[in-house]
Amino acid sequence: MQSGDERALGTFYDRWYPIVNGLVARMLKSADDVEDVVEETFWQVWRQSDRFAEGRGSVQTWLLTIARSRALDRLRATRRRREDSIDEDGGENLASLAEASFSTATNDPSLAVEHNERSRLIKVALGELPQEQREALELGYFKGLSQSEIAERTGQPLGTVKTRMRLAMQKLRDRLSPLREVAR
Amino acid sequence: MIPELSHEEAFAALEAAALDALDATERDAVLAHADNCESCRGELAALRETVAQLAYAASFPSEATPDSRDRIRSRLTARAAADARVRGIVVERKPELTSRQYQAIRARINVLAWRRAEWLALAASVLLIVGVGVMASVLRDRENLKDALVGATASTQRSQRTTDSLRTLVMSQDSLINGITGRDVAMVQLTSTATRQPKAMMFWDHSRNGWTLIAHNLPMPRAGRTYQLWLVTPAGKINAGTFMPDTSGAAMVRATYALARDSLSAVAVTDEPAGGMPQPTGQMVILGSATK
Repeated sequence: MQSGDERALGTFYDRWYPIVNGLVARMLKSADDVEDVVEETFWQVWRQSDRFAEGRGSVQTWLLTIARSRALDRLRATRRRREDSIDEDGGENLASLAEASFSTATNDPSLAVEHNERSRLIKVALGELPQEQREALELGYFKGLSQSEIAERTGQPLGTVKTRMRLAMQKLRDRLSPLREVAR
Repeated sequence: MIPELSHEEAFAALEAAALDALDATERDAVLAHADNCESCRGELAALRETVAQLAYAASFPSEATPDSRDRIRSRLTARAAADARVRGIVVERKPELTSRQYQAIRARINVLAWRRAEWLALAASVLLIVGVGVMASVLRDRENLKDALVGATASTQRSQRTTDSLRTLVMSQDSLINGITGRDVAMVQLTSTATRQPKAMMFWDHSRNGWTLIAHNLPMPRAGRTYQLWLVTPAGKINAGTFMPDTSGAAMVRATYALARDSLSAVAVTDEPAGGMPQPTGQMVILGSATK
């Protein structure tokens, strides 16, 4: 991609479309928004491919950070525009969502197996978190709420929200360290 | 104007920064600190790797139709090709054949193919006789190999899952052992005068900023209450998390928090409302002074 070959972008897109589309579709309600944000994500990858530095992290982290940032931008803009209530969001949670399968989103069986295995391990790790810590993580990650907004929404003191989020992240980091190594 | 944070303040906010869950001012302050602090920068990068993994917990909607996927793909590659042209990028590719060149090559191949056909027909007759016998044997072997492959694949996948689980467990245990037996670990003993005489030891791994509390004989808190662990410093009391003991009164709490070596005055556990409090409000359950 760094040499300007659009076929490389196509190959990259085929490899990563399922996970990017899954993440963005989980965060946004409108199918049009999802399609726009997925395209924006890969376009940003194309335009900024020369900025990716392998030593600073994995391709996966770089790509998914871009995807989530673009989705959060869209989510927050939509909220501001419509003064949309976050309570309208569905009642799904991270652990139950991990039940879903990649097999419908990719034609590559080996990729589907890898994704499903990752999804399974993450589900186990999330399932081990106390419910209140998992909730803080969900609201921050998928709903894009800040800690202050989470405190306001849950009626908990800000310090408690900060503690829950820290503990959840520390536990997840411990549990998922084998996955981080293979993502490189 | 971006407010300046101390290392401890910035370090404590790195998890939220990795999740992009800080308000804008605080986020800018944390990122400004991380730009100039190698340990915070490394910690933030590692936390972002963890955050990225959470994408795999999202659903993968079946309504993501091939139409949508192909539509985006076509638009992207067309935009990329146009962009490359605008930027004057020339990608070296093998030249594609014109239709006339392609037809000429096909015709030449056909001529050569016919010349060889007579010889090939003779050879094929001989090979056919031999081949039928060989093929029957090969087909049997192939079926056997296929069965063996299916069995081996399933076995490998089971082994991989077991290995992943064990690796996670071993890493967790290693981390715990390092946190209480490492070279740079300080220990604080916590005691109480309560009837049940709960006891606890806090291990502080300076090199990893790791804290491990191991407690015994703790009574179960009342309904709606929890225990909360505090690091007491001259500057204030730092919340190190809430926890509950098991039915035997034992508990273990692990936390990561960067603190200067000489700034710990004591370690304390208090009884607080469920979910914890920003500052201690409840009864002291157990306390230990940090000896310098």
